Amino acid sequence: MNKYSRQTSWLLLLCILFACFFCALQFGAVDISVRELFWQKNYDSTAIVWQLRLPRILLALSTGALLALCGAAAQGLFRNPLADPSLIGVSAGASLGASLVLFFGITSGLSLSFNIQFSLVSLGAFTGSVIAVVLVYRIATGVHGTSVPTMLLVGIAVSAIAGSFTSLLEYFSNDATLRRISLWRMGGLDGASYYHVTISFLLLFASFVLLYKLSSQLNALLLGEQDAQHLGVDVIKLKRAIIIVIAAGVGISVALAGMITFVGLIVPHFMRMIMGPNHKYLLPACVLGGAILLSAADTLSRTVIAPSELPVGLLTALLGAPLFILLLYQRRQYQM
Amino acid sequence: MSLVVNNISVNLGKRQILKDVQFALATGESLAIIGPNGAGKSTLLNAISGMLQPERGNIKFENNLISSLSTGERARKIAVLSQQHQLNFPFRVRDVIQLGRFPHITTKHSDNVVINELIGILQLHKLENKPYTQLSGGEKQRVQVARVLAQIWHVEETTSSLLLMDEPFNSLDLNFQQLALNIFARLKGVNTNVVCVVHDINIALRNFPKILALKDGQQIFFKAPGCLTQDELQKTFSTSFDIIHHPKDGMPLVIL
Repeated sequence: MNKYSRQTSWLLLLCILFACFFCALQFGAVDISVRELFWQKNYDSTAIVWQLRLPRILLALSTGALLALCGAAAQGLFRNPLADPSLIGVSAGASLGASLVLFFGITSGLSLSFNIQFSLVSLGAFTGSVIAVVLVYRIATGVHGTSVPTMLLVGIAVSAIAGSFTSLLEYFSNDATLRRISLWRMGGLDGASYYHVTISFLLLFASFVLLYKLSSQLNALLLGEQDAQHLGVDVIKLKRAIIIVIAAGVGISVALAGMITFVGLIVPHFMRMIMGPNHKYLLPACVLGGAILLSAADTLSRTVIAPSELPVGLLTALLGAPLFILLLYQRRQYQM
Repeated sequence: MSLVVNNISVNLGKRQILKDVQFALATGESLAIIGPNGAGKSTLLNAISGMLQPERGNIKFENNLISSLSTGERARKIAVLSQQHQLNFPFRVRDVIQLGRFPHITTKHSDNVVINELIGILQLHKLENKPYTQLSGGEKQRVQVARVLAQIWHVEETTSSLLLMDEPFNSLDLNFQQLALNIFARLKGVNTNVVCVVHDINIALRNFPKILALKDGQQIFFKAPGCLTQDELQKTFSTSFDIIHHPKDGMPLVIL
């Protein structure tokens, strides 16, 4: 990849991102033309755009970027392009953590403000995903690298444990709690508020800055843990930083938007094809790509069967699952 | 003495892997470590590189304890070629070599000078822009050797450093084995000690001034190849073989 074709790719990605953003503003259950957006303001369309659509689009952009970034980080940590947080059980762990907090929060009868409740749920999701990443990493990765089958199997096991615990919680819940938990589990971006948007953009910014500073260390880590250590990388510190970023990103995105799968697999895969595996270019490309993918998927999910909506996770899974199968099929190319 | 390994014992968990290993190398002197599988050769390399802490004894390089160097200092002085390479992302060959420059805070220009020189020496011109994942085993080995050399390569000043290699001749054909040996000779000129685990005993006997033999974690001998007896070699590998002498210089060669 030479400098010029990389510059063209950046330009192209930015253009697509802006196009997605404006399409998302225009299309929905009610279509709003560009003229209405900017010049002919009427009350209804202003309310739709500013109160409903814009926060939702911004949430889609930031969680998409966050999930793609976490995917790239996880693939760097496991040194394997198949390590997607939703496949290795991290999202399931986050979901269990959040359900536990919701369950005990509601049954304890404390009346907490909306923001505090949200912070607690996020903390639960964060804790759940930290435990899941550490567990999968401990079992699947050794001196000789990551065993892909073990990684995926541990992911299945973690998802199964998290799933059964969540069902157990539902069994013990009363109707009101059950409704709260299941509504939240279905997830989606429709509950977006500017408060949510602020949180996810702040986290996206912090995670990106941290990872970008570590990008040459992440590159060195791809040589293997020992080789990275020989090059002078503090591997333990680096792994800790990556795990915290993944857990925070996946945890918050699960708390904000529920389970959205495969974004962390699809986006880094295509960005690696365009930009190459160097994290210095891959990470920013994943931020743009993730934002593009999730905002486009969300626009589709709002318009395909309007005025009803499809869950956005369904669309990403529809795109991601076949790619996953294709990658498994070609795994010899990646020496897995 | 430049590299001094002072009576070290290394444990992994509760198992003792190395017991009372002791040797010293003069500046620029290179060493081949030989021995049967599982003798502790790679563990010895790991201990010298500072990756493993010896239970007893200590290791000094140029009068500094290896354990007292910071991670960064160590990375600028000691480069290690591992036995197995895990990289499976499609970096270009040039970018893989670039990774070896990680510990150095130098300008992009001086990095490029080093990288270009190594690409020239290891004859990687044609592969320079190819993805690493598409290379053959021997080509990958050459690229990794170039990366490890980039870590301790200096274009002008001569700073002594330490190069540790676990079976560097693996999957290299004769031409590149010779090339690697030429590079070692050149490193000797800049006071760099090369320590290699070598599987092919004849390569070790012919090209290294000192041989260290390990068996079950114990040191069998540490000698110059010219002083070796057939008994010592047979004891190391618990098998019998013949020794003949090279027609040109009379140095020993092993024939099974």
